[in-house]
Amino acid sequence: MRYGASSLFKPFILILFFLVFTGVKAADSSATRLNVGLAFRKYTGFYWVNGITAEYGAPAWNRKGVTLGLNFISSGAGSALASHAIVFYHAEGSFIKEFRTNKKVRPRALLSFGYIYADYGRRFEQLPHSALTCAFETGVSYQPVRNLNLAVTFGYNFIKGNGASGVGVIYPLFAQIKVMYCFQWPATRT
Amino acid sequence: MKWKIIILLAVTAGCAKKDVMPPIDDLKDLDGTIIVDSSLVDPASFLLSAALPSPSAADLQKQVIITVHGFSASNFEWQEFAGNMKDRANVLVSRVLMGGHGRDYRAFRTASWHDWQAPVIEEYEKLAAKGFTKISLIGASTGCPVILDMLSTGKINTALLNKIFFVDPIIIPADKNLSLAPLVGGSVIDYTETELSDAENGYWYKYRPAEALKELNELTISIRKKLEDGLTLPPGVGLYVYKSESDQSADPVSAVLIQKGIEGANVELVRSQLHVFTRLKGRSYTPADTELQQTVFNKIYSAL
Repeated sequence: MRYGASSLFKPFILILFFLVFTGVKAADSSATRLNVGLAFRKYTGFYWVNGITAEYGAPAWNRKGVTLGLNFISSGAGSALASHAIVFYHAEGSFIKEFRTNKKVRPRALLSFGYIYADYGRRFEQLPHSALTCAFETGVSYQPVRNLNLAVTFGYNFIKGNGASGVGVIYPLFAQIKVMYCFQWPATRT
Repeated sequence: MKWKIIILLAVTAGCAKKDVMPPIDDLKDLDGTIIVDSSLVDPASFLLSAALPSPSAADLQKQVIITVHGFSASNFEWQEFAGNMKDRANVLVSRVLMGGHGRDYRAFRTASWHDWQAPVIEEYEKLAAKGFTKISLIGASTGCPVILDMLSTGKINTALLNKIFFVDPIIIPADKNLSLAPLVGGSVIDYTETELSDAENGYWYKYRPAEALKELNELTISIRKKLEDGLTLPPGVGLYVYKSESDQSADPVSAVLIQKGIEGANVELVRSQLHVFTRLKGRSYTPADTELQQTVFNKIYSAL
């Protein structure tokens, strides 16, 4: 099997086209928002790493389109599920900036900092198996109905393993989809 | 509309296939058209099948080790090993030059990893046909996934296989940007350049074409996935893996994947910062490196 660019990115490009040509919808700017859901991340040439995600937006930040994000993802819920792949855990906090916040489709940019821990087993304890991470992501979020948010982003890890230092399972480029249920209070009618 | 056409033309021109050649020095670089691997000129000094066209009964009783070098390397990588084994009893070494290697840049650029592998299979089959029955394989770096693919796809008759040895196998590259080769190779990047010492020059390719990097990426991903699914060694065949703890070409995590993916693999992490620590010629090294090299050579011989 060959690994061309198209095999990984084609579905995302199609989704982006679909999103761009859909309608707009006003958001409530005075509400506190909490989105909770699942994150699915695929590294170019490497693993699926999946887990849970949350995004929190305070009313004061709404006008600026700023939210805080939290990811807890693991290859154990991805490529290492029922395989001999390496299990690692990645906790990540993000600053999220969205644009066109009164529309259904909002471009977004994320700066994330996190911590990764890889489980190589006791025999390989001397290898570096934990590290700090830093990533930049950009993409769009889409809120077709009040309680559902889908975010599609492409990210780049600035800190990677290099064989001598860092964790060997951190690859540079990834695509991620987050599917989130949206809570907001005080509840308002859309 | 006019602007759209101009942009479209610019993008098309940008994506068009170019024949970009690196600044190769034909007189110094293996990448050039003058210098080639010695095995191409004098196969009998490297390949056992050429050295012993009709082996004696005594020869056929001996252990045979086929060596497989790494990506962009040549037979030079196993020279010290072959020299060491020559002084020992009952063992013969056959040094194979992988396809696309040891020739020139264009040959490297146009060869697939299946081409790299073909001469290894060919030599194994020739030795098997001559009647050798104790054949072992030893790989360095990319030579290791090349061997694992041969085993997992039934490309060789493993009934004649004795032992397998890996030195610094690459399953996960140290430089993770290799994973971007399919995206940027041939468009943004045409080749990468490796720094070689004066003594290494002429034995390694200095320039790595994007096409070859894509092949390396494809091979390592393919073997990583097979390891994740689990590989089984042929009955009675032992696998011995020696991996540098710190390695800027093959990530040490490669050893973890081999241990997890192959039941019965004997994986040993060694204290070294050299990639393919068994080759010291042409690099700066310490007495500890020499000691490690000799220790591992002894271990390999004992394990046969």
